[in-house]
Amino acid sequence: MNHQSDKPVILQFLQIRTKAPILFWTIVFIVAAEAFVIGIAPLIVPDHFYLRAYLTDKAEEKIASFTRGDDRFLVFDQVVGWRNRPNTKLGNWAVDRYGSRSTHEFGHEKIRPTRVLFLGNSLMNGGAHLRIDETISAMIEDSLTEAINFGTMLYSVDQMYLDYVERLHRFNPDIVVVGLQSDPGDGLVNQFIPFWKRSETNMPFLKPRFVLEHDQLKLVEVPELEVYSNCLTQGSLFDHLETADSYYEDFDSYKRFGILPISSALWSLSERAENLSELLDEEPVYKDMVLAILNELRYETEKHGARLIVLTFADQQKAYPDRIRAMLPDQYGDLVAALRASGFEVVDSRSAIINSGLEPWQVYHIDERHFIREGNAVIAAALKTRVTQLLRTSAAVNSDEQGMMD
Amino acid sequence: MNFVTTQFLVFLVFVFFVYWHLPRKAQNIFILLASYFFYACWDWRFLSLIIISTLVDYTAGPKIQAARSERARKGWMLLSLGVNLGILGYFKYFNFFAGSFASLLSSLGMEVSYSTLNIVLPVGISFYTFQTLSYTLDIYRGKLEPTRNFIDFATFVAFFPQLVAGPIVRAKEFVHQLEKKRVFSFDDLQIGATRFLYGFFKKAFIADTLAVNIVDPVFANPADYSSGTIWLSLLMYTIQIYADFSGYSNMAIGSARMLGFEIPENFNFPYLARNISEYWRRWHRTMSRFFRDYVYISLGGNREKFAVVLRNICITVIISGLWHGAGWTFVIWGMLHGFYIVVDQLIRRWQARRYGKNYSMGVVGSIIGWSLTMYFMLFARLLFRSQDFSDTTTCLVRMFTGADGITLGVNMLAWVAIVAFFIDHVYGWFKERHAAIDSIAPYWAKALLYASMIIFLYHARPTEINPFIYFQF
Repeated sequence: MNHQSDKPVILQFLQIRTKAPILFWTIVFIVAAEAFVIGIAPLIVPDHFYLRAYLTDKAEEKIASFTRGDDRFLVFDQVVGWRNRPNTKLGNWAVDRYGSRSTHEFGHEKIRPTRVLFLGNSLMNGGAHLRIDETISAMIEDSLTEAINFGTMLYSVDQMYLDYVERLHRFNPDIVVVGLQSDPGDGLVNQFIPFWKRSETNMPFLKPRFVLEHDQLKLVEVPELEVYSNCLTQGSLFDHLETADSYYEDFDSYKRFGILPISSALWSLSERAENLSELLDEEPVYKDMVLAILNELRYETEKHGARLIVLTFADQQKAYPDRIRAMLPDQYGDLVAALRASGFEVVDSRSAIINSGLEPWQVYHIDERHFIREGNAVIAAALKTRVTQLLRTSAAVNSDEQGMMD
Repeated sequence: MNFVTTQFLVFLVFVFFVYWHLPRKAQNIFILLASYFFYACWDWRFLSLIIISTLVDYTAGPKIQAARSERARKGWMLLSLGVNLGILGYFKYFNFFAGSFASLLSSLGMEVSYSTLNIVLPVGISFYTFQTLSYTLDIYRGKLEPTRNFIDFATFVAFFPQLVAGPIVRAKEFVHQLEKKRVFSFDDLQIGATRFLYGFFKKAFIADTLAVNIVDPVFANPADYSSGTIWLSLLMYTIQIYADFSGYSNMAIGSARMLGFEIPENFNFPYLARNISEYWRRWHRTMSRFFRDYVYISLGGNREKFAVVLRNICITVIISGLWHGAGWTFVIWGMLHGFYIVVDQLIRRWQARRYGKNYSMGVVGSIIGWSLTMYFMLFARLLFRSQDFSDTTTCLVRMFTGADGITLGVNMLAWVAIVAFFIDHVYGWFKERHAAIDSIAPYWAKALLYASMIIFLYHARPTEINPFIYFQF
């Protein structure tokens, strides 16, 4: 059956049906399966079946243990989604009864003249790879300043705001430092973390979110624990997420295009193209939403007599961009500029890191996102300078006001 | 560039389409460049070793043939041996021999200061070195005409489908294929592509699933696991190493076939063997063939007295053990197999004397022979998998003392992998008895099987890519 032809090989492939029937029918079966999965399966297969395929085994186990209340580090919270588990000590990880990772257990009343309260995610918390004394909050402490660190894994700025309004204002801080990750808008339109970050197998949790309607923030609450705990066996969570989570569309695409190899490859290419177009965008993602939430947070902090500092964290690619990334629009710089233009006190970690003259490996953890002790020290020094300036200004204003009263 | 990555699939498809649009001479140059690129993706620095080996043997081949005196012939052959084995010895065995020598002196009370060199083992060095050696040795023995075309010879040495882990191809099997005109054939494409897919499935699903779920966790800390779990993981390792290496060989044979080349088979369902000699005729056949032809026969083969034959077998198998890895566990593994083969030969000699040369074992005898062969082969595998003797001892003690410890369950995917392995070997068993078994199934049924394999691989293979076990050799 050897085939000899002068036609180019690519044209000879038109004869594949008769010349290589096994290959031909293999391709036919795969294409038929793809067509079925794209067009028919989503109409008859319930969402929770897809979710089981979408999540890893580890993520499924995590949902089960978290909803049972067995997670070692975090507990479910109806307002903010999850909190640090109080009174936990595991290796470097130590959290007090309020869920704060601080050098001492601080109550609601101040011990030292100045109290600084930290809101943020794992970058602010420091993560389990660092000791408490290696965190930014611990590094700004001195005999006159005490720091309470409420940094919580994977928090986005909406959760930081809600946490402050709900309970943390009671700690009476003089200054509130809110830590923003490199792309702070990313998680703001999301409720179910795996829809946003499929690979985040450690935290397949639900979070609250805000919707911006006519420049007003409207809260979308976390679904009930029962709905969440049954998400792998029932469909009620999906009825909610279909309208509440902007990343549900991605999950919907997964149901059609993420199951079989050819459609998956094409879908993956289109996703990459979309990510690239986001990188080429001049505007940071959901900048308006970030600013709106921070405005609310500033209003709340000032209402309780505190000043707000925004600490922007730059990941390694932002601080030490390679040649290609250096040519892309500087979304991080744009965000810092937008914050400053809106009147926020900003401490820009990227400037501090670049000015330190340190090499990337001296600043960043291996994941190129979290900081090691030296990186935190550089950021803490910049923050401390700003805190001191702010306190001096506040003291001067207070004394001027006092003078006028006298 | 690992065979089971998207990069390799893209590379193979690109090479396939470009190659079949080129004239023959350009095809060989293109394959050579593609092969060098493929190897450079591992580590471009070691490409120089392949080129040195190629240059030396390309020069030595015609010189051996043209030499007028035996001394000159031998001289050129020794130059080829010296350079090839010198490179192999330095990169693979320097630290082993230097360390062992220092330990020996130390045990005799002579302390020597010795430091290991930071030598990286170039991927595939044991395979391509043997391939080039077979070329000069065959010319020396008058069994092969040297090739006059450098591109053809360099392509033979560096041919990417089997460059890094065999099958070990001989020049007389391959160079003539490079010299003749090759025409695209759908037969070759179909046979090659399905063979490649079959190998991909064996490696990426059967081998890696068993490695990730059972073998690697247990052998990382054998002291933590129960006796039964260590037995289980050893059994699973036996399946893993077969699926891993034969999977690679299938992919190599398949991708070569897609380009119009036939390279020799490397496996023939080894776990069907009923005695240890048969096992070695089924497992890594091209290596066994190499050692038989160039070591065993050079030592005198079976033309000597029976005791000398047994000695020759032992030496050959021990060298083959050392070929696998520079470590005493591999030497002992080789000695153990040497012992098995000697015992096997003695039994067969006794059987032949008592029952005649045409003695047949019968069904019961075959089952007993198969069971014993598998048991002893499995036992020797422990040396192959252990990091060192301390690990081997730990495993042996726990295996034979019914030790308590963590008991690992076999999950659903691992069961599927085990069943897939059994189907592979049951198919082999039927094939040996009914050669026409392949033609029974209709096209559509085979196509359905291959389509299912692709979909299954997409979903069920472990996410992490494990390197091929034999790459370390």
